[in-house]
Amino acid sequence: MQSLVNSVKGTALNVAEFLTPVLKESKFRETGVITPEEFLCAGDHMVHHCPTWQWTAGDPSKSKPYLPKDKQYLVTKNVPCHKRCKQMEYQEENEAIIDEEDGDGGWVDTHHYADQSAAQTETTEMTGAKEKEPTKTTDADDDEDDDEEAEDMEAYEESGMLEAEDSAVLDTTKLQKEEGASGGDSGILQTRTYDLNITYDKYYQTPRLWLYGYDENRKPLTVEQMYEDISQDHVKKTVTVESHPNLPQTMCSVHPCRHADVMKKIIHTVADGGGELGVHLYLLIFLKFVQAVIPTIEYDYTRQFTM
Amino acid sequence: MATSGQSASQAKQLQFAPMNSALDVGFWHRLSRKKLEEYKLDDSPKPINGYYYNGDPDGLPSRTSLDFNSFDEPIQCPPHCFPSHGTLLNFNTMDAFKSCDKKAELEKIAALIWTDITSGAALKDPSLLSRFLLLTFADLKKYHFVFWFAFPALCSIDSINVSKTQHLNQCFSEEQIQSLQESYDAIADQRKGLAYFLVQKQDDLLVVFPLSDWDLLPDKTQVMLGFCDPCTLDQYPGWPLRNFLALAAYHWSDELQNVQVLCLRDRTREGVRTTDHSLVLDIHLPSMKELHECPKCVGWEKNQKNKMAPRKVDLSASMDPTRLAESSV
Repeated sequence: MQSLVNSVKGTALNVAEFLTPVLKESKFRETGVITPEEFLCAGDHMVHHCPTWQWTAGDPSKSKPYLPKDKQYLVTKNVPCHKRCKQMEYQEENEAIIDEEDGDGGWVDTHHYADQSAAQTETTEMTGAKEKEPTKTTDADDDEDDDEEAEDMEAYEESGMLEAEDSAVLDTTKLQKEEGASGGDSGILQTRTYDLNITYDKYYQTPRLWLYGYDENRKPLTVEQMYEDISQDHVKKTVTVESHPNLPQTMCSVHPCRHADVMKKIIHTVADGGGELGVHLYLLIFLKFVQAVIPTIEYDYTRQFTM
Repeated sequence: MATSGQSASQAKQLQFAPMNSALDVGFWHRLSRKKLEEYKLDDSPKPINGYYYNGDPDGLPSRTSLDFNSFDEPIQCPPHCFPSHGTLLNFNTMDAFKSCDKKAELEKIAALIWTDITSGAALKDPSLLSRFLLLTFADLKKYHFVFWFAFPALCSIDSINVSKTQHLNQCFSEEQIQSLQESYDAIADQRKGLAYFLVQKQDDLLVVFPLSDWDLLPDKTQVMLGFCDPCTLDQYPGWPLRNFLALAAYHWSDELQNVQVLCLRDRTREGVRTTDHSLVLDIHLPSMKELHECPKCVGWEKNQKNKMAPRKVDLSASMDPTRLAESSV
């Protein structure tokens, strides 16, 4: 039911976005929103200081006219995520956060009517369940079991390839074990990775963060698995699955409706301290505050900037 | 030298960390569209491209990424990344996928690399050393994709031995490393995605040269081979070094029997750039000067169970329109 509300709302917003004129004049200081030109400027600044972030073009047929063709949105790839969010959050802490829901920057609750107790059991179920145990939540995706799939492929295993005889190929699986035993840290870690995108949201006139995750074997994660890496007080509230504006696929996205207000608060705080916040710093600050939503995804944001 | 624990007397075989494939969901979307609108039943080889990066955090495997833009010409290689030239073989049936002569297909790519080395084309455009082969079968009804990568690497005739493995900051001073970064940047600015280069000490500073400048360098025995290394392991270089060493062993073996190799790893985190963790290897390089035919070639990627078999990805959850409609209600 709630997802229906979301999807209707999503469609309505798409129409609204279409109708919203492109912001031309800077209203950054008064309202915290930015124009596409300012997004571009802030993006260039970020790419310069954090080279792991890059501009990219995406699907040319989905190109937005208010941004240059080769600078449609920002991407950082293969960002490691070593542990699940739930492993970080203690139960008591979790409850405290839920209590403070309204005080927490006022994120809009897009799943306000969702059954609280059902959400709770789902949470515990997923914490307990290992990758291999199929959970109820993944039933919907009808995912084939990992093992089954691998066996399936072993029917196509080839023998007589030269790799086996070539002693110059490093066997990283062995290395892992050796290093693990000696407590060294130079092996290959089996870890999830994320691709993060930042698009310009024309309707909310702010940047918008998108994420897509892959498991240890670079298989795409299910939506439920990705939710494990999102701070529990934001799952399904500020983070939803929607169509990517520049790619023909769906991704998890942090809803941008509060970004401008948070930004405005920061601008005012800086102004109170006698400083002036340049719009080119917008994305660096943006990256810092979305970290609250994805605390275990280790993307780069430059700490060294002066306000 | 604390990290190496090897002395010159204990030379051992140099091993390379294999390359891994990293395919975006966007790649499969684009392939599906290409198959439906353009390729149809045409299963002839198609050029595609990928790229790799030498600034990953510790612990991540070396990887070549393919994404939505992998079919575009000219190659769209993101800044600070290095292009890899690919050949796509998309089969119409799983049987064709299975029965394809994989050894022969790999040898075709190996022959391309070898020709580019012997003709000197790779000296002018070293990115020709980085190639891959991708076999795919796309089940567009179920949104299942079967694929198998190969990152062809020419094998040395005798094993290449390494006598010392050090970090860059154990070999050179801060000032020298600084000069190396500046010199690399200056050259990489003109040649986007410069992945292989030469380094020489001049006036106590490190200066970077493109491979095509070899003839201009004084005292060639003092030249270091440099490459951008996607590997993050503390003791081992990454896969791209293999074809580069084949090139060096063919062209420069008279001068570079014992040579230092710089595995350039260039990371910026929190606004601070560092290359200190790059490796410097002292190796003995057997000559390939007299070799007249293409050496043997390896490079098939193992699957997640470490077996010589293809991988499979199921994207019905993110691509199937009926599934998408269901999940949104």
